[in-house]
Amino acid sequence: MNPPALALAVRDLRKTFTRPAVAGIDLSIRPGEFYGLLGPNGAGKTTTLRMIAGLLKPDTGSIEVFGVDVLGDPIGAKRLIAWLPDEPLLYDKLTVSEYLEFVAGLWQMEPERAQRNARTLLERLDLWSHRDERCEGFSRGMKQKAVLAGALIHDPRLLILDEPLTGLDAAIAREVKDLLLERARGGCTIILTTHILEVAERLVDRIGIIQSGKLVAEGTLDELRRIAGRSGGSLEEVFLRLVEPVPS
Amino acid sequence: MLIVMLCSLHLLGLLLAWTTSRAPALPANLIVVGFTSLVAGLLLLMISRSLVSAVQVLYTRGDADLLLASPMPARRVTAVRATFIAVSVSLEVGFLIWPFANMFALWGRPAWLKAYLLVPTLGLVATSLGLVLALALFSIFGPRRTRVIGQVLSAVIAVGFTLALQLPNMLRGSPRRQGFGPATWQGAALAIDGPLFAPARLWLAGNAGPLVLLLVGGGLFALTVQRLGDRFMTAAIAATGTAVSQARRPGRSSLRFGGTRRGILIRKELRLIVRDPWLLTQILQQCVAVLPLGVVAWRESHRGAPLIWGLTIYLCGFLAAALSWITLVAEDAPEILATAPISRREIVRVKLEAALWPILPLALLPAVCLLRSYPWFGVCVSLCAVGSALSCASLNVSGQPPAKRQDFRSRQRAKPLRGLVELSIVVVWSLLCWALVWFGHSWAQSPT
Repeated sequence: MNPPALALAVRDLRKTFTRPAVAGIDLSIRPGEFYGLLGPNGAGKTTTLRMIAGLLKPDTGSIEVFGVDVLGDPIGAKRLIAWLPDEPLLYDKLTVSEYLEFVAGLWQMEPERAQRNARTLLERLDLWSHRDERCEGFSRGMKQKAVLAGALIHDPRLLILDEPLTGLDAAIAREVKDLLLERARGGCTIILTTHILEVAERLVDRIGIIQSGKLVAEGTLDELRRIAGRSGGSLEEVFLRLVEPVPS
Repeated sequence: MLIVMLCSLHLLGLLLAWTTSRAPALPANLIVVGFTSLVAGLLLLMISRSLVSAVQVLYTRGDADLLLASPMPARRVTAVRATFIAVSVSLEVGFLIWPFANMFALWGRPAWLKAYLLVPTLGLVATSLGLVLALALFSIFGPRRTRVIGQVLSAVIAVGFTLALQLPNMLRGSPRRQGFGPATWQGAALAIDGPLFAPARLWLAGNAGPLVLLLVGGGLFALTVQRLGDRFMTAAIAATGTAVSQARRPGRSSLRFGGTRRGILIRKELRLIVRDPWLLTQILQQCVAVLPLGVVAWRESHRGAPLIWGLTIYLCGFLAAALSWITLVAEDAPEILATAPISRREIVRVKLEAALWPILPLALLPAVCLLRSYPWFGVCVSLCAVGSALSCASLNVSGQPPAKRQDFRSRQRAKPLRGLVELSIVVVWSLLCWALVWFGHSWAQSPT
């Protein structure tokens, strides 16, 4: 059996709350690709990611993760996915190591592999010395790192990150960026949203720009420059050109 | 809902005013002693509430940063916050007291209208003491522990208040009750000249007394804010910058992986409950309410079957409702579970297990302890206790919006009907238990 050609295939995805939040999005992300989803506030980025992660049910459309139908076989798809929300939600009364033990248990990891991964991640994220401390005393940055360690411990094939660098100081943000790049080089497919365009410019292979629930442009930075007619322009200039309101 | 409750309290007040209007007038000394006891109880309750609020003010950032960065003096910020606490604490208690005062005043006892001065006076005194207590805890235990210790202390004070309220019921009919008979009241009456009863004497003496006491309460409040205002805000700043590091427990090894998914989920739920002392005291506080019933059942137990074991049906039902609410409704990180490769049905099942396992020993206790003396009674009680726990826990399986653990205390206030349903379930299981015992007894005595 051939491996699926796409890590993530989203077709005609739609979701309406009081107004359409996602209005027919198509995404095709290759295995090992680092994909950035950019857009102004309220464009539908988080809703799209939450549907891919299985947190929200789409009104219509299909989502496949490495050939597994997210809607038809949610448990099978979730085995391959890790989700990192913008707000680091943790169990305050658990220590970091207990939290990782809990996450590894949910994904039914073999103990040796879980132990090895946990140690590597905690050391890599500078949390090893804090492993027996309860999360209630952690700063936001430390909580974000602990949640990231939880997301990565089971070696997900698709990592979905919603604003992973919000509220992090420069040093922690650097650590997180380096770790994500390492994972991408190791074959993990990553899709992230961010408002920090410099991050997208530096990290991602391809960018999708979303506005009013629709994908308005997609491609590498050079391709986006061409679409926007701003050759040599920064991502910020390209982004602002592509999402500028159409004069009525 | 608020209007319905206010109307009900007024109705209750009307009934009470009507029934007590026919009773002979109480001796003045007895009124002084009773009034002092009531005020002491209310003050305890209000101190408990104001302590929690003061601790919350210490730890809630909200607009504190903005206010403290503004040119407004820190003392004034404390004064505003403290006034808010005093008003909210007074309104909470006033809501319960004033309807009765209204009805008693309508029924020809206008002196009861003094309650409109009494409650704010107590609110001011309680808030002052709450602020002092919160600061004292902060000085003794530091910013990292004060929150939990303050919450636990507040719950302990509230438990004391509940027990004090139930004391007359618990002693009614008991030989010890004699100690609280007329002789005791007469003794207390002799002592009412002492300073302990001075506020009550002043309050009951005339119309000026309440105003004087209100001024004293206001003075105490102003003095507290004046003297401690700056220190309180300094503590609030220190609390928001609480040190991250925690002492590691020596000898504890970390990173122990393995075990089934079910075991890991249950372990996580139990850890979160056991490590939350505030939550435990809240549960304990609500369990204490059953104490008077327990004493009555215990007193009746020597006449036949040990009825006190019947209380396990109530306790198991209540504990199951409380613990399942914590595990199912107050999930701290729902997205972790929602994105994990585990079905919602399995999560609910395991979380229910986590809530019910700690209760099982209590439910089985009657069957084990009464195995020799009253085996059928013990088995019936245990079975019905398990049934009560399962039924009450199942109430939280669906239809509950996600909540935070801190909302535990107000969970029934938000949905009073659910509390009634819990109680009804416990009553039904108790009746079923009684029926089972009766049938068993009849069957055993029937001629073969």
